[in-house]
Amino acid sequence: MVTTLLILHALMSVALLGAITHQALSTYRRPAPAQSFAGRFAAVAGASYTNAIIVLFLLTAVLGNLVYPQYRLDVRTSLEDLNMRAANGVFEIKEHFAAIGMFMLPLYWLYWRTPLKPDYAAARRWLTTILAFIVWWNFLVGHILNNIKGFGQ
Amino acid sequence: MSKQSAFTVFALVGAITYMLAVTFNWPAFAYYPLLNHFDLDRALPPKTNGPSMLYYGWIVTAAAVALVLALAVPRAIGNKVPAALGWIVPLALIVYTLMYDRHWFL
Repeated sequence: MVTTLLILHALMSVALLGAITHQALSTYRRPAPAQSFAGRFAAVAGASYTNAIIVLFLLTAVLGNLVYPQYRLDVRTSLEDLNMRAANGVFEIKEHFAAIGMFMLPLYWLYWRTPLKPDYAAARRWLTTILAFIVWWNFLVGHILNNIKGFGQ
Repeated sequence: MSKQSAFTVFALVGAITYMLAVTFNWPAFAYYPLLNHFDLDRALPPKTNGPSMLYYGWIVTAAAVALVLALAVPRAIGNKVPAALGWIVPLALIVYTLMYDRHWFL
């Protein structure tokens, strides 16, 4: 059961990673025809991703919270036994980042509410960039920790 | 109360209060995964309880404070919060988190 939840958690995070990266890059794009791969990657209607990103963020967080007790019992104790302090540290940061990101979602929704307000353009760009950073950090840390000691071993 | 005011106050207060709850250890409760037990008593538990988890308790503390303030702060004040705080606050909290957890890497 925990392994299934962990896989779902990972799949949700992949979808979230793609969506928030598209949206974050779209806030830096200049209104010109996209030529390159990167340009086309950023050439999306950012606002259309907002609700999906909020749902994916919350679902990923809920699934992460469901597998967290098993992590605390099996994985963290193993890391402590192996004296892998840095691995525990990056996970501690991951959990705090997830909470900060979750609390920022109402404001994120407000900034991306259509019609987009020009007054929010800078805040929209930076908050989305920060959320993208959080998602990338949490994805990579989760992936690395799972590689160190995945469930079911 | 307007949506803009309530959302702004909830987000900023929630994120800040979460890191305050972590720093000063204000969990609403502790969870013991070995026993599948929630406990409001934060006194040091016996070792037979296994490890405690405070993460859920910190989130509930922050959410409760944020919800109360989001409902209580007048719209006139909530609407005056500069939009820039929407990214300055989480950025500052990220930096603070990295500093707070640096002891893991020393």
